[in-house]
Amino acid sequence: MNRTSSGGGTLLLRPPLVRAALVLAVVAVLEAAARGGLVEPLVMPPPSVMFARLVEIVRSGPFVTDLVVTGATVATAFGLGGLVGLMIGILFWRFPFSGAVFEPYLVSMYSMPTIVFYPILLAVFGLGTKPIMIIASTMALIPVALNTMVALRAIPPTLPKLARSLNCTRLQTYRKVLAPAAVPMVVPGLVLGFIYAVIGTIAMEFILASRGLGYRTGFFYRSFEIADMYAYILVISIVAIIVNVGLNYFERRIRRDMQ
Amino acid sequence: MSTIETSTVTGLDTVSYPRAARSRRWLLPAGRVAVPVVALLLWLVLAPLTELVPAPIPTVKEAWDGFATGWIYPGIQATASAVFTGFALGTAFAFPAGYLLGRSRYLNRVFEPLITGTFAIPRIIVYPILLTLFGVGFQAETGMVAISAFFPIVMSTAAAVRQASRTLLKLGRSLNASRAQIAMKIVIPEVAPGIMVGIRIGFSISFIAAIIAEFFAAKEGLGLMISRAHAGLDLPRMYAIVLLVMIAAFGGNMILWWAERRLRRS
Repeated sequence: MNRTSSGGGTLLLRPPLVRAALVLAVVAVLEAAARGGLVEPLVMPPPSVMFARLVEIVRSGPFVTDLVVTGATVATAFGLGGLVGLMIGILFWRFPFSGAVFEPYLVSMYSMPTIVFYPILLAVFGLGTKPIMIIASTMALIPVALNTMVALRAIPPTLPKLARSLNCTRLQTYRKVLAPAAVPMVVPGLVLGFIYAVIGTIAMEFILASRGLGYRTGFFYRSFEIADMYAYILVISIVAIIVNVGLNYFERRIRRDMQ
Repeated sequence: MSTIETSTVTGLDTVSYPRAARSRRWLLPAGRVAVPVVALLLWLVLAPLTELVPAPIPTVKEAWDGFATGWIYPGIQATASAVFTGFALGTAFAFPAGYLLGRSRYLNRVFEPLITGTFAIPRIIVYPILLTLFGVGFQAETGMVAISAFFPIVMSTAAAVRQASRTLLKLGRSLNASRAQIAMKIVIPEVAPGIMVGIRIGFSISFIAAIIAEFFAAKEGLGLMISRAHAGLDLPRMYAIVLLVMIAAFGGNMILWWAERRLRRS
């Protein structure tokens, strides 16, 4: 670990500066490559052109519609997946045997390409937001359920005992004792669940929807409007980064408040 | 590394079930075996209620035919080669990168936000870029798999390497071990189970990425075969491939998980 001592020594080598410089350098190289004819405009337009398109697109009506559709799908998927996940987590904790039986299956659902069920859902619900919502919510459900279960199991047995000795009702025990004790671990599960809802929704839109941000990216690829395609990829990336940063901030705040 | 390491919980090894373990040892495995059996029974009972779901027997027969007559082999071959090549490629980049990020605090501070910040970006949306670069086919799909595998492996490797024991590192330095020796003799053997977690997650994600990529655009592969069977309303075939994909994903995950536990114990 000798190298650590050199970190952040001079002002210019501060990590955030180096990071920003690296990102800018990559953009500059891409710009030069596209402008200089090294990369065909049909493969990749210059980043400046992408950004210009991005600004135009963000101001346009169809973009807002797509954003609203995707946002609503993510929100419903997360709401549904989060709720079911919480219930499963509580159930598996309350009945440890069922938890032990189902846990390996729940964990391996992480590795399941649940999207293979899309043709089935498509046949049942038609081409709308429902199949997307269902798949995204099953993805969101897993981390919520696992974290809830682990969080509840980690509660020291003295706490429920204390609640009993204080003559708490069952509702009071859940609300005043168990829930606050579990929150620091449940929240990361919810955060991860939300991120999975975003990933699931956009990925599903990409392959099967008729609206939404993910769909639009694929649409522009198929109609050879490469600049717009890149602009949409950028938009999705930026939205996802904002969501991620926001959730991390939220998670850290909650954890700090709980301590 | 914020969310991912702190909150991805498997919990499988950590919890014990004293009551079930002591008095009725057979009950837990029996319960676990019962889950797919009950699912199969439900499928058998519920299938006749709808036209959208074929019964299990024609589905299994179709899957069997796939191997007997060979119609499934080109799909398996295409998907498997994209998954394994892409996974190997992604790991080849991710493992050294993760090792460096885990060993150097400075590099970690520079790159970690770039990696975790992009965690929520659905990787599949870069697939059109790969398609415009390479055209539809093996290369684009392999690239997609490699990108998908890269991120979880970098993050888990870096997190695992960071856990390497200070004392052992000091011992290595006091013995004048070279950097390569420290890596090969001390850090990697010590944190192997943690690295294996990344490999397992990376492999699952590779498989999922390949199937999604094939749904979108491919010349061959199981994902494409599912879409084709769906378009041609060949439901038994569609369900047969879906079933095989699920079994392959489950089996692969179980094997890697078993390897992980072996490493942890030794």
